[in-house]
Amino acid sequence: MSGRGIPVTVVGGYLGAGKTTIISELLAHSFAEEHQLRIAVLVNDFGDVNIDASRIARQTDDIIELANGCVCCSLIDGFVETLDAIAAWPEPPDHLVIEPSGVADPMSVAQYAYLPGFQLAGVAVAVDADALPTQLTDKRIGPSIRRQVERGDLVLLTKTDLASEATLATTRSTLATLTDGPIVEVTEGQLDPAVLLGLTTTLTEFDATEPDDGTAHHPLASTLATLKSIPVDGKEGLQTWLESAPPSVVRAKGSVFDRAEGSFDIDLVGNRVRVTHRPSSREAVSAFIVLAAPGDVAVTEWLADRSLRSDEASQSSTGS
Amino acid sequence: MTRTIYTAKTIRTMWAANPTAEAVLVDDDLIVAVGSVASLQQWGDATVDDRFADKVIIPGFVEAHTHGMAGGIWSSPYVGFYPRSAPDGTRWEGCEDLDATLDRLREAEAQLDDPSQPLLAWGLDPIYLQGERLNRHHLDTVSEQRPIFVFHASGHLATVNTAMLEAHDIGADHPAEGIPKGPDGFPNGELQEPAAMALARSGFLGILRTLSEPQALWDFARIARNVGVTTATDLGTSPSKDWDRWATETTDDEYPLRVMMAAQGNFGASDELATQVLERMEQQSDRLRFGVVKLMLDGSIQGYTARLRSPGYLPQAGVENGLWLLPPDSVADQLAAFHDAGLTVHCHTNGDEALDIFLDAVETVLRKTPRWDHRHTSQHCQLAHRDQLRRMASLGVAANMFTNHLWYWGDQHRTMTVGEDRAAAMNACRSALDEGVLLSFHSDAPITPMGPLHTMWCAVNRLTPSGVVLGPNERITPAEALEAATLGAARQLKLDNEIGSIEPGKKVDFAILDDDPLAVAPEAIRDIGVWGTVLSGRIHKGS
Repeated sequence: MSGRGIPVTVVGGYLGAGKTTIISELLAHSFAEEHQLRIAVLVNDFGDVNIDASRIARQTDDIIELANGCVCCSLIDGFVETLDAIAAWPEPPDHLVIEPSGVADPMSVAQYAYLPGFQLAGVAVAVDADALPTQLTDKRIGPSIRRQVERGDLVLLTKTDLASEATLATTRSTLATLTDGPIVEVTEGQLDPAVLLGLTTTLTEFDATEPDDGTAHHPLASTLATLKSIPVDGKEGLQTWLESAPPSVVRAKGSVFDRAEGSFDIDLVGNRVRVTHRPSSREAVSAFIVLAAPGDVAVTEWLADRSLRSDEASQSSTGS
Repeated sequence: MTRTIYTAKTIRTMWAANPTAEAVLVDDDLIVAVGSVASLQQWGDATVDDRFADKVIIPGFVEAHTHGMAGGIWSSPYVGFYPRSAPDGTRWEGCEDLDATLDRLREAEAQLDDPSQPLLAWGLDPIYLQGERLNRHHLDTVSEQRPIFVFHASGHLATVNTAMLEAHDIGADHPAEGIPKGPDGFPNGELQEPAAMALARSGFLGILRTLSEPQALWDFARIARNVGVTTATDLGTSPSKDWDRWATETTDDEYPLRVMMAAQGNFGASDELATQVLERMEQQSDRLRFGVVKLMLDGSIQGYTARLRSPGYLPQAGVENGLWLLPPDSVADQLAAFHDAGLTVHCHTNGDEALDIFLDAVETVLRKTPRWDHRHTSQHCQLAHRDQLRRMASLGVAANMFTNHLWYWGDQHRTMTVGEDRAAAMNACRSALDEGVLLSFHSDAPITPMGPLHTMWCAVNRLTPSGVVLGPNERITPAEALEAATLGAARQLKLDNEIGSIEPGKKVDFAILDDDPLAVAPEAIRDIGVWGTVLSGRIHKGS
């Protein structure tokens, strides 16, 4: 059931929260090319997505194909039909990103990822840092926005540069009451694509995700944790441990070996933790990548908590 | 070609200067004159056709809010609470309890040959049914082998049997939302919202497939013809999925209906859609029309998803408020694209708060792009207050009210959604007319059965199934109701220069009735028999 379908990330958030900018930047980012990933995005109106005409390879009424292999599709014919069509493409995408309408509950939209051929890879909710406190007091839209944040896996906090320090503080403290998921700051749509697309499909590609120009555009650090054997107390123990990850852990992906039960694939996206048992795997090494705020002691401690109790553990930290 | 004079017991023309006539002279698809057989002699030779001599002729009804799926849904058996008529005229009795529902399903199951073919059914509304709610165990008594998919009337839910769950691996640990569990921890068979319903692929896609068959569009027109409708709106169509198939079927001269293709404007690029509608208006035919765009702001009142002004729903509903289907701050922008292109926008606004947002948006676009006679229309408009109706009149916004609700959910609105006082003010036709709002009403078929005589009857009598007259002060007269169901709706579609009344120069569009809706007792309006229709001069007998 967890299957090997096309991973789906939903990027929700109210009107003006910057969803479309994030999507436009994602399509323009070199990440897709570097990793040879074919990304498809599903948007309500691709007239709004900022795509440089010179990058368009082909265009029909409801599909724009970019030179880098990425594809932008219109949602006009509904989710079921559109997702069915995508699953049947001769070259299916490696990842699908859906931008629902500003009033939709992104977690509800994410349920379409359980259709055959897909798997849910997380729900990110864009929040306008400057507008949130006012929006939440608006009876007309406040409850929808609150619900979006509460049900999402992680928050993408935009327009922090426009907010006063006082507003930003209010926004942050309010968000903390609504979600215990990570809050990732996004300035002008600049976001490490790994946050949306997951840590690249194989660990060997890990170095390629390493940021090249310091922290300015990459406020997140990736940590490769290799743990020879973690006592995980089975699937549920592993699930509990992953759920106890500090809030700054945005993503974690890899596999974990349990002596008694064998290997588990793990995939953490903010609040969403998925553990899949791979009993047939004989790989006795645990290795996973953690994407988190740089220098967060809580993350080191969280990892150390397990590695200390393991026979041999090593950690290597890369990124900034 | 000689002209024809149709005689009738009475002709109600809806033409103020000549409100009744005993005969109408037609030339092919156009009306030449009305009057007495003798007075029509001044137009020269004509054949007198007496086939309707004992009937009543009125302008063909115009239904400005229905959905094309009202036809195709009849490919599957009906299991709703109230009786309904199929496109072939067969009357299906209502399934008034769980046993009747299961009996109906058993009959349908027995008629399927291929054992792997899923059994599909539609129309279930648990709001009416006492006792236990339909679950997979009930459906398992119909069949343990054949997958079963019962599509609810709301369109938001389905109930399936165990065979259907197993066929699609919907088990106890399925991670998707909208799959409620029974006491045994296994899914109880209900699938909530399209994402979960779509997991039962053979059922959900089976329903979608029947809706896209050519037969579906013919069945839609047959239903309309059987109740005297000559023009109906398919409210919310997609250019890529719907327009060409409608164009194909309506080219057949035997197709018994004129259809307004209202484009769904909630999705996609508004300016592109506006261009597409304008292009189609250039090539439209007599039976296929364009020019209306639909927007949807909120949900339904009985589903507790309509957006309500304070004080909202009754406390027992346990909901803060309904859902927006468009961000309220974006409605003016969305509307502007269509308004500026000269199109008419029909906006789904069930709740009063949603109506406020729509009227704000209309005012905003009018300030920027003043336009006379836009005829933007509030669809459903069920909770409009007097202040809103006044504002609608000033802004030129019309009301297409959902008067069928007064009968089908009137008692539920009194007791479960908004309470006695606001239920009495729902679908306030009298207030709308008194404030000068252009009025029509609709069935929203397949949500309720298409049938303008029933819809008129609701507006005139405001009776609920329990016998309550819901807000007697909001009743209107049969004459006002007949105007709303003909000329009123024609005006909202901007087709009143061609249809909506029996006047020289207009289309020969008639509903042929057994009795005169303005002469029978008001409570008997819905019982009047319909013989059939005449559409652009072609006679279509009902079934």
